[in-house]
Amino acid sequence: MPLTLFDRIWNDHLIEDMGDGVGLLQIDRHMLHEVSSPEAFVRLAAAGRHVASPAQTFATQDHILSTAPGRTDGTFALATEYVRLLRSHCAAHGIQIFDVHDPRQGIVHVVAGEQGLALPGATFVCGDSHTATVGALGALAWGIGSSEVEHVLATQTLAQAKPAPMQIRVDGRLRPGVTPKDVILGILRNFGITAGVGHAIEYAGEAIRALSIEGRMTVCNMSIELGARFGFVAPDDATFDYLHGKPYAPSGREWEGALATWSTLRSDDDARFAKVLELDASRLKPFISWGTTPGDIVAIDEPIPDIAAIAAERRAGAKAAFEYMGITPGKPLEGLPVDVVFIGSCTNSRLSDLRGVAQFVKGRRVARNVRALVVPGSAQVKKAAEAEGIDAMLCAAGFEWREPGCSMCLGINDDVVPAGKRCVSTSNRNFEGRQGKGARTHLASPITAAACAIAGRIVDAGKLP
Amino acid sequence: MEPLISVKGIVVPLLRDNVDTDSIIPAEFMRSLSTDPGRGLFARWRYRADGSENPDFVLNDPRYRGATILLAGANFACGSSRENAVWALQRFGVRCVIALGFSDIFYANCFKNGVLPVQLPASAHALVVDEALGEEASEATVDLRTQEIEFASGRRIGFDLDARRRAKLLSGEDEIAATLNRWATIDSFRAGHAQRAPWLYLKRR
Repeated sequence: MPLTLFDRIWNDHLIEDMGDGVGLLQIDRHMLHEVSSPEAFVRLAAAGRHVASPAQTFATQDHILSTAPGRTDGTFALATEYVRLLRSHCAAHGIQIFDVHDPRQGIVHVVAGEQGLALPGATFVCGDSHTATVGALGALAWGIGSSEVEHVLATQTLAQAKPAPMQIRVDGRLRPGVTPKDVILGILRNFGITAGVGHAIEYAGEAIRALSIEGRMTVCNMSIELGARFGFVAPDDATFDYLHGKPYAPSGREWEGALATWSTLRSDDDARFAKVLELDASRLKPFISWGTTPGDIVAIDEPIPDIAAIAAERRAGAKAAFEYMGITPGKPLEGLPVDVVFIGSCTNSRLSDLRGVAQFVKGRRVARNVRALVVPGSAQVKKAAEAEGIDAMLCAAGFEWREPGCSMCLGINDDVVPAGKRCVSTSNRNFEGRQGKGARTHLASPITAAACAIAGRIVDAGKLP
Repeated sequence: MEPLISVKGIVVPLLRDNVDTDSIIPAEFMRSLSTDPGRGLFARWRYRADGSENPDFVLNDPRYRGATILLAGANFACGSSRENAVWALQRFGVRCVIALGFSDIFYANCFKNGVLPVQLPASAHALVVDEALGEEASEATVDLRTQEIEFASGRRIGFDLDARRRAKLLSGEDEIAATLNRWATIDSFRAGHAQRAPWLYLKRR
């Protein structure tokens, strides 16, 4: 029977069919962070259980840890409790941790790629909804809750409801100035925030294939914004080149064996998907979000929807969004003054993102009254960027250069957008209050965010003098 | 886990679509492990700037005080995987959420905590809305044994739930213990898997 790549990886990890569409799956890699793991460890200890496979478990500090330059455990005072608990839990159970001052520390989904922890055909889980990011490497990666974290710690398995395989094809070529972030924002604009509920998304097509691995990570990252826990791209030579030599990737004879297996990881040509969605890459533009769900997307030069253009059942929600965001229906966002620009998060904080921004801001300056932050995704990204002089270029242009972490994406530490202020953000969620109480978030690509920082207002990067 | 047989009580209607888990419990209520998650439930909507209760928010409506059943709209609890969203509802006293749809992660998290998510098709959901939006608050019993929502008016609305999840809630099964009981099967699976993909089985450093 022809199989999708999803079925192939699922079957390869299926320990037991539990009935009702649930499978008990072997988990190859489990990553922990400080905020979603403490309850799991506490309950594990209370039940007198131990960690089943510490060698397949890794941890990093990213969510609540301060990103202030020179930060320590308690630079953001409330982080101390979480940071120290993760450290002590990892020490007690023999789990490798990329701790606060470790050169490998960073946002879990950035670190997982850099360290070669996520691998083609492997199952990978983390107590974070953006775990599908590393599906870009051909891994079956998904976000789980704290109880599931506890289950994986105790058993290195997970009882998982099997989603339906789905494919999103993006064919054709991207136009100049259109970035991987615009691809996923375009997908969200076209198909909406529930298109992927109950599904596992395989991204395919010429335009996806043409993306770098970091670009594919940006796309896979926002699968959860489509409602899907799982999102991935079949591995190819770009994947293998990316992984070769990574610290925890196989090496030597094991690499050869892995490569032979990985080369077979794709969907059969006649495999059947429960759903196939298609998009023409050449029609995509630089996009930005206008409302309070990640499906509220317009091209930067387009007006936001008019009330009349919105389906009746969505009108109440849209009205609330217009009011919360302080925007006028039917008018473009272009020109709206911006207070904060955030470049970072598991969506867009990798070296290629920062290189693009540095190049763009060369010879330009951040507008007065704009606070612009650049938060590299990991200590490794930070170091590599500094070696290229990216930090110096950004600082000269008026950006803050911070320590790695999730930062203003979720506003759990003191990196928050003040109430009523407008932020152009390269992160993944524009929910009410996501970046701070009353914060107004517009999701966009790093280049668009940089352009808005320079102009001090919402602008199309291509139109900046 | 405490078994869940039925949930009886007031139904509070929160009929906006796409309520995200950041709205169910904002990040600032997750800054300390000792914070009661129930306090953070819908905090952005529930409290005014000075910290007092917002009288316009439905959970603060005197008619719905002490509600145990939340009636939601479409795509409830999308976004972040934070299980704190379930804990917040539970600590507040909600043991059942009825909606047109749920996010996959929240839906799974509910079953780990003895909270019953009831997904209804539009026609049945409309009947529940009709009952819940009256002048006075309506009381209902959601019974997992009969898979019915019964209102004080006598109206009964059935719901679907797969047998496995239903049994787990009814028994309050310790899922980890159940998995550990399968250890022989797991071990033999791993022996084969480690032969197929030895690079996935890292040695302890």
